[in-house]
Amino acid sequence: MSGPSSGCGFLMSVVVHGDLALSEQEKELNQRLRSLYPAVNEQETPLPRSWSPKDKFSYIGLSQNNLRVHYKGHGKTPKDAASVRATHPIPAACGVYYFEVKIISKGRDGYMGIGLSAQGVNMNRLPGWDKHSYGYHGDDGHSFCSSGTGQPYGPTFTTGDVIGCCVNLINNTCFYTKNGHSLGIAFTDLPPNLYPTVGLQTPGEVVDANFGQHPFVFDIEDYMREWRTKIQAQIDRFPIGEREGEWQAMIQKMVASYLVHHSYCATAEAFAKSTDQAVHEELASIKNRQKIQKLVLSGRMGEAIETTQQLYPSLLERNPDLLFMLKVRQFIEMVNGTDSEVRCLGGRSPKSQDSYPGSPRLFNSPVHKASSSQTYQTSFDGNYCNGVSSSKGHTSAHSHKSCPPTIPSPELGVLNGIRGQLTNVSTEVEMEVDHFSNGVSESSSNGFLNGSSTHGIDLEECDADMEVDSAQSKRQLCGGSQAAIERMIQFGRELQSMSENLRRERGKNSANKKMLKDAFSLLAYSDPWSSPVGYQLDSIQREPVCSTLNSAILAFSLSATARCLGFPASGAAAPQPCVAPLQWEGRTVEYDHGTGRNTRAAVSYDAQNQRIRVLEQKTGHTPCKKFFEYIYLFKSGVLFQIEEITKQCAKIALTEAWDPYDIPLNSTYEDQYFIGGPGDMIEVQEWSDRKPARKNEAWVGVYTLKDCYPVQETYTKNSSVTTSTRFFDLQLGISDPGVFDPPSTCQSARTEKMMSDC
Amino acid sequence: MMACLLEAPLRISVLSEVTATSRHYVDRLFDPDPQNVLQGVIDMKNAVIGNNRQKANLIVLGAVPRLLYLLQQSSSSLELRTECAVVLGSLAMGTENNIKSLVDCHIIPALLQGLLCSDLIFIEACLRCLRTVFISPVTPVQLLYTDPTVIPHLMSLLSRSQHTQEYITQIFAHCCKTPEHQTVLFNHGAIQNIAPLLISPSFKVRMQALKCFSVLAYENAQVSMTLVNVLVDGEQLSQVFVRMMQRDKPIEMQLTAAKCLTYMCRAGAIRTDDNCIVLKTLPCLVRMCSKERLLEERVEGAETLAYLMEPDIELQRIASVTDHLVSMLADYFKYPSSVSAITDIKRLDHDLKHAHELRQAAFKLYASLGSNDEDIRKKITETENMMDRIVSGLSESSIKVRLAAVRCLHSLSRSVQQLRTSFHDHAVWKPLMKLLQNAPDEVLVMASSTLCNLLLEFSPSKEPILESGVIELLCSLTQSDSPALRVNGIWALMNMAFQADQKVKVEIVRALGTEQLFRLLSDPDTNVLMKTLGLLRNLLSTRPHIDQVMSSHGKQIMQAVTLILEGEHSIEVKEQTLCILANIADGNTAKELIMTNDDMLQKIKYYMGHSNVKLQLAATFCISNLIWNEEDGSQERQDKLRDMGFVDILHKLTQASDPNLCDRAKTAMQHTPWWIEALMLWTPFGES
Repeated sequence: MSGPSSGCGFLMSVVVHGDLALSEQEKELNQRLRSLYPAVNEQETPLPRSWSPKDKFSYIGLSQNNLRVHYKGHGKTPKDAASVRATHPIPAACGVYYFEVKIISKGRDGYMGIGLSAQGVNMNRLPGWDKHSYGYHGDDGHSFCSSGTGQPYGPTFTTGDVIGCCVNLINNTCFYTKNGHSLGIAFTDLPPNLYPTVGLQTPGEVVDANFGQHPFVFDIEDYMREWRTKIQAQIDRFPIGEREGEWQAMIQKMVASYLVHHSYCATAEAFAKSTDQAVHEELASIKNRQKIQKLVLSGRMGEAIETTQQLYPSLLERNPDLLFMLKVRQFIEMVNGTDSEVRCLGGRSPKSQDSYPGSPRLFNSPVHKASSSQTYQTSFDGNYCNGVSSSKGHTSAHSHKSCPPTIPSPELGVLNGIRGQLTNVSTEVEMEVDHFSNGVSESSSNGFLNGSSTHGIDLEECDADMEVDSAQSKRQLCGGSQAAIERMIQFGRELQSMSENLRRERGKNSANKKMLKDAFSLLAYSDPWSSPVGYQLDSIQREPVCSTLNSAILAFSLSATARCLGFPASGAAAPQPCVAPLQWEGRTVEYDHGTGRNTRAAVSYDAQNQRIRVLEQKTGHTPCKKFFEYIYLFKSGVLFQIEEITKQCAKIALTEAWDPYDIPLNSTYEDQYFIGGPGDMIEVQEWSDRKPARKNEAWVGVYTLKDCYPVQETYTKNSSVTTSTRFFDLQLGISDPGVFDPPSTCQSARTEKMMSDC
Repeated sequence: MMACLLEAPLRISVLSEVTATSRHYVDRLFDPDPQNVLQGVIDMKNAVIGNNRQKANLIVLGAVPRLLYLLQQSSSSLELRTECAVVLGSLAMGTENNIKSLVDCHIIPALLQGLLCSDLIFIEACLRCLRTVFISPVTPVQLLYTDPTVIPHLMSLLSRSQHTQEYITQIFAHCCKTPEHQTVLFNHGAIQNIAPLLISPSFKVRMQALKCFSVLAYENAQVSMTLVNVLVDGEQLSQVFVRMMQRDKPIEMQLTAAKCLTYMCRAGAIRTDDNCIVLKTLPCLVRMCSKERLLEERVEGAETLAYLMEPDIELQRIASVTDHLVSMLADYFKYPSSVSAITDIKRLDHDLKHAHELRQAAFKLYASLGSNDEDIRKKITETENMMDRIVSGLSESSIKVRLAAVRCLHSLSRSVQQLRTSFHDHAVWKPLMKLLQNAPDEVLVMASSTLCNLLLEFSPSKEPILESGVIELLCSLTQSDSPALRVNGIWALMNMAFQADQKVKVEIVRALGTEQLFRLLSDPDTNVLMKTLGLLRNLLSTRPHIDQVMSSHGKQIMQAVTLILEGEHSIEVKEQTLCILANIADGNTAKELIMTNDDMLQKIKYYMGHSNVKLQLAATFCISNLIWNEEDGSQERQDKLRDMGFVDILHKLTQASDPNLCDRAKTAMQHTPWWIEALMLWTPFGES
């Protein structure tokens, strides 16, 4: 049943893995790479081991196992520059990556560049001259950071020198070494997936690479040790409140954020409820993501793509590679017969409409219309129904009722085959199956009964289907439908042209190329399912797609809010004021714009009981220094003022209304930004004005995005007195509630306020 | 300051503040029942822990002598003696005043005596207390060395326990401050005894042992040479140090290990091109200068690095390109930063405290980096605001900063290009001159040495400096007690006189005075003598100058020349003197001073036949100037010289094996017009 069919245009090339005896050098290389990069799984992300004979400009010659690079062009002008990339990009799992290049000969002028570049960057150039390209040049010692103009960086280098390049993937920086000496940081903010690259420009230039074949001149192990220790210390010293319960709170937070990330909506909700936490993401947004994930995991890629486009406009526009990946998956699902376009050829599913009332456009895509026809709809009615029915087993809660358990149709085989696979994998993907069925329905094998389920019936149905299926041994392309096959071919062509466009616009991308080739290879076999590329049809392959899309959506929503929402509120909601903590302690500095005086204070804040305690230090011109304690009890309408040295106390009626440190619900969103410099990572939101309690007061408040702690408040009281308060060293909770009890001296308190100024 | 026992009146006044409980503790030390005394000491121990007030009270109440008495009494139980040592150790942990009081009560000999006991717990308690006392800056280090039996005994205690190891090595590390201390410790086997501790399981022991080696090896060739041959567990000591510099080791350990290797290298025990220096120590020290390190570490790192590479141009070149060191150092000048002032007072204090140290360390390192390589100097002067920083550093209140700034300036002043450009643009001579008016000798030495370079003929700063009254200042330097200052003073004058106007030369001679000139010509320091002769040579250049100077000071100069030629001096000195004579012989009127001095002519004759070619050459030079035949009276002079037998000598010299000498003799013989080249001395760069 297998065997490649000849005459097919896009045949997969067969990769032969020769059993070459490992030479000593290769053994040494393997050993060194393993010890340097123990976290790298070379099955998934191979390490660079040599220069790529394919990914180079024609003026570059390779020899000595593709480790030696020489220049073979004219070398008259910079237009004759030529580069070569390594076989693979630097895997992120390296943490710290290092390679060395020895200058065998500087040739005529020694215009050599050593560095990094992304896939697709023009090879008729020296590294560093173009976007996503970085280089250190021998003739002038300058560093080139995606620019034709270099910056003074290090010494020049020439024949006999060994230049090393170290990429730190932890902080995304790069430094070079010369003859074993570190030259200091050359580049920061590097993008991921860079390839080691060298470029030459004049005749006679020859360089040798060392990707680990030999011991390095620079002690990279020592550098790695430092970073390991650093990271370890960072973990060890991660600040966790000393107080009771804070550990627990943090772990709960971690669990909750995991659940939210993966859209385990109901679980997250239940967990949040039982642990008394706020869910930071809007529930609607979680549900949206859940919906999309469901579609992907059930193989309904077309719908998934459209839903994504609708809910998160410009997400896919900005990520053409992601869109391409989704489309390739859609193509595979078409082959599988699961994608909505082939499954529902010619008609709209009433069920689908039920489940997606908000997105009627889904089944009205122009492409779809073009290929649909009434005839198909009727003739494939049964098939369609079967398709839905079979996918129900693992996804849709709504379909099982509508489908008659047995329809002896030859096309069924394909679909049942798929379902068979799905049930096989379901135990491995317990969580996934569990979560997208959350709240509604079926999950047959993981034993979780989520909401109202028709578990038993479902299983029976399944069995019934299986019986029928077993009679059918043959699975067919696109569910066997001719129209679907045509649609699939057409879609394949669209995909091909999309790939070409992508390459034109964004340069070569070997991952995309391979993806497309593999997908098309499916058509080369009469039974794609049992072909060498058949693994793609396995529903487990939907998971990486699903998680990539999910992460992209999350990142997108975050950046969308972070960038102060450049897009109208279509999918993502406008920022809502966060809820400030009710109890905290910390320090403040209040600046009075009128007097220009700063007052420092330690503050205990208890919104739950509407009370504030302030320990204030008033300093005037030296030597005056006065300490006053204020206890505001808003519920009792009393203010105690205590002079700290004598404990003299004044009790004053409190006329002002309770006004918490928070962002009132009707506040106006002003801005969102990071405070501090690079790496400080404290993101805050600025809100302004007009809480009901402060009718005529202009107010601006800055609160942290993460936990909604106050950072800064400025407000003008009665349009005359303006104060700005900065908050810092805040701690959650009240360490000693006793601070709100006035001292005994207040029993015989005076009733007028004491002068606090110096 | 509290003394061991306070004077009576003071005692009463202080006592009034002392609480009754403190008194109670002391009273119990005098209880007749030893069991009660023990309990009293234990209670006291618990009462003083972490309580500085209580510690001060007990000292005021006279607890220390009593505790020491109990500690020393052989009738006291071992337990009591140990507890006494513990309490004393606790008291020592308090303020510096506490330590002073303890030392005044002779706690050190008492505790050292205690070490002779065999009980380990007691020994450890004594050592812990001794350690705390000795590491205090108020304790005189010398107290460790007064009794010659102490060091060997401490060495023998090293094997007792990890605690004894930790305390003893810590004491050594703090009390080894002079070459004499190093020798004492070395002679008592410090190296063999402490080396094994470098691989102790206890980090504290390893660290203190390492510190011992860094203080032992500092500028000590004997120790350093021994260290390279020491094996620890079969491994060379330098390799052990290299391992301690690994980047995942604690910073303190990396830095101290780097210091050890630096000192060993500077003492000549490790070559500067050894991998452990080039690839390990140097990069480690550069890392210590990075912004991530604490301010103290950055200071130590920079100072050690400066010291390491001072004599080696290759290390300077490597360091100059390592991790952007030159620009990294610019950051040393940014403390206290404007941020630290705002954020908190503590940080501001901390920054202020270290600001001077940071600046002087950076200047030192720049000085070391730029001492040889022209490209590095250029890189340094091009660093942001560098020249401005040096200029302001020259007038800082801290002597350390001023000294380092002037060292840096001196290093950069060796560059002809910098002298011509940045030095002139920033008018560095102004603060430099100001600095020279009033500064300690060590600053003066550096400043005057720099001035020597600024006075070089091609330096554009020479003119303005001359106009600012530098001659008087330099002349006063020549009267200094410090030979280095005298050299620099006369050296600068010598440079100034090179191809100078008549006016300047006259001014120099006037300001210096012949008396001082003579004094310098009999200076015990050869360097001073050489430069003074050089000055004379430069003064006696072109013919009109020669005649003028000789007409006013001829007699004295001839006397001085005679004295030197007759005295016990090196070949160089005599050669220089003969050259002066040759210059005099070139004058129109001046040459008569020689021609009429038969004694001098005899001397010239003597040197023409000297075994040293240089002296022969210089003397022949002199004669050929005298017999020059285009001048008035040349015939008479030639006659006289022929009569004195010079022709024979010249004849002989034409057969000399040395081609120069031979040529010169021939030329003289032919009486051909021979213009004597100005025999001037010009020394390019000030060395100090």
